[in-house]
Amino acid sequence: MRLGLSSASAQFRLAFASWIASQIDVSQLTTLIAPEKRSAYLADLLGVVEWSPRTTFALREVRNNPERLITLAICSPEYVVSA
Amino acid sequence: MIEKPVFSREQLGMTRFTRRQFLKYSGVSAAATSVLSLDDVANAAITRPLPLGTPILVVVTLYGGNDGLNTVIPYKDPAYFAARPDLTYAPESLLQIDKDFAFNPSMTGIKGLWDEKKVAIVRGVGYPKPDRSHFSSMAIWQTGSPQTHLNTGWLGRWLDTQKVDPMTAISLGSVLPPLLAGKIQSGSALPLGGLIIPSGQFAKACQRLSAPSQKDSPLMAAAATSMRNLFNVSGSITPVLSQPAPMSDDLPTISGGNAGGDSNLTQQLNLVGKLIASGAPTKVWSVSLGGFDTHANEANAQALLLGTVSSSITKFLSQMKASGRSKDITVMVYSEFGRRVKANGSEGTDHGSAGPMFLIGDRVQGGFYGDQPSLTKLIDGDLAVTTDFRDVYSTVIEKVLGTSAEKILGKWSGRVNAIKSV
Repeated sequence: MRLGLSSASAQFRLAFASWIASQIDVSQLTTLIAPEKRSAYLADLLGVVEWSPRTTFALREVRNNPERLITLAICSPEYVVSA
Repeated sequence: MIEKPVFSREQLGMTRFTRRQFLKYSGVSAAATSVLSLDDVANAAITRPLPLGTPILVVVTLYGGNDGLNTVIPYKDPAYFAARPDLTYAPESLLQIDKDFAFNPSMTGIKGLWDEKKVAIVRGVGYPKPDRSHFSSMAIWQTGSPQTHLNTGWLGRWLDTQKVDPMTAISLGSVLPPLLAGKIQSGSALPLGGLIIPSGQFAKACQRLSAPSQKDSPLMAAAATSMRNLFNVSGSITPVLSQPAPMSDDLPTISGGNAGGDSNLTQQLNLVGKLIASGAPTKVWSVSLGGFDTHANEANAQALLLGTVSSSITKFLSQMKASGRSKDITVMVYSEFGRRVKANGSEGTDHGSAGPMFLIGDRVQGGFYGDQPSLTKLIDGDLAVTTDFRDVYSTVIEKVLGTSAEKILGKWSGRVNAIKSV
């Protein structure tokens, strides 16, 4: 069992990411970044080279909900294993 | 439907400060500890269930120092009433055990089990040179080593004699007690509330995010799988866990003194019961209840706590009957110390020394073990220790877990003959 990538740790990551996302002032993101550019902006911010098609799709579906968008970006497999 | 996942502070690791302090204090450096989720345990229960007839130990730790004298009450002893005039219960409310002793009025469940000869009361249990600090006394009990400082727990050392498997010993709650810390392997922690997973739109978003992708590296695939597994819970485990607790006819209807509804110990034992019933390959479970540090207004508080201990253990054992495993289970109850004989000025008691331990289950030979410490021959105002806890541990290691006690506690000859041979 990969200890860091168990479902228990996934649950913890989701919890932590939701909490972080709820603490962030998202007004910059919503006022300055157009919805279709938000996931690329977050990739830059998080140091992720490229979102997979799967993640791109998942993020596109929530791009109008910044808090959820940030939560998912933080929990994305791309970010989880790069961080 | 909860859209946003709700997590307790505890799950986020924000509380349990004292427990962490305790870990630090007792210097326990566990071998890698796994934090399990319910589906990990339930999947193991499905793929490699514990063979029926395998003995199971359930350790109940009462944190804070349970007052033994108001648990098993020497109600005929004038010295008892003289020492704590405002702290005693009405004589007619006591649950009589024999001509000298009675249970706390709230312990109706355990009294019933006593009548069925399934409860061993080991009296005057402690260790040489009692320490009155919660932290150091609990460290001594959990490491099983009064004289020398060890950084493994007694059940952790038992784990070291077993095949490496994170399922062998599980503690409910997010922090592993030193009890289960071994050198080669440690027990696993199973946080409560493990079933709280996102639902609704957020769940759909998470499922999209964790879908397999051809572009995933092996690590990314593992990360995606870990999140996807969270949602597979509904497939494999929820059927087991969402079953209503089986009701038994012999559960007494509890009223009055036991009010207080669900408590954490009740939830812990309820979950342990369901996982045992589902076949979890786990031989040792650790659960706990805090709050026994009754420096003030003790009578009420302790009755509530003991009522919870009594009713949750009784309900747990009763639920186990349907699983066919009730005869495999032995419950052990202990606290880090008893309390002073004399009440303090706040209708409470301060930290003391010896106290009773309980062994409960079908394999237990019911009755009293060990001498009751005298209320008139006190040592520095405290009860004398008449039974060393290592006598009890040795017996449990040998008779319940089937392992040589010497490997775990060193040479120790004392035993408490309270477990039937199979």
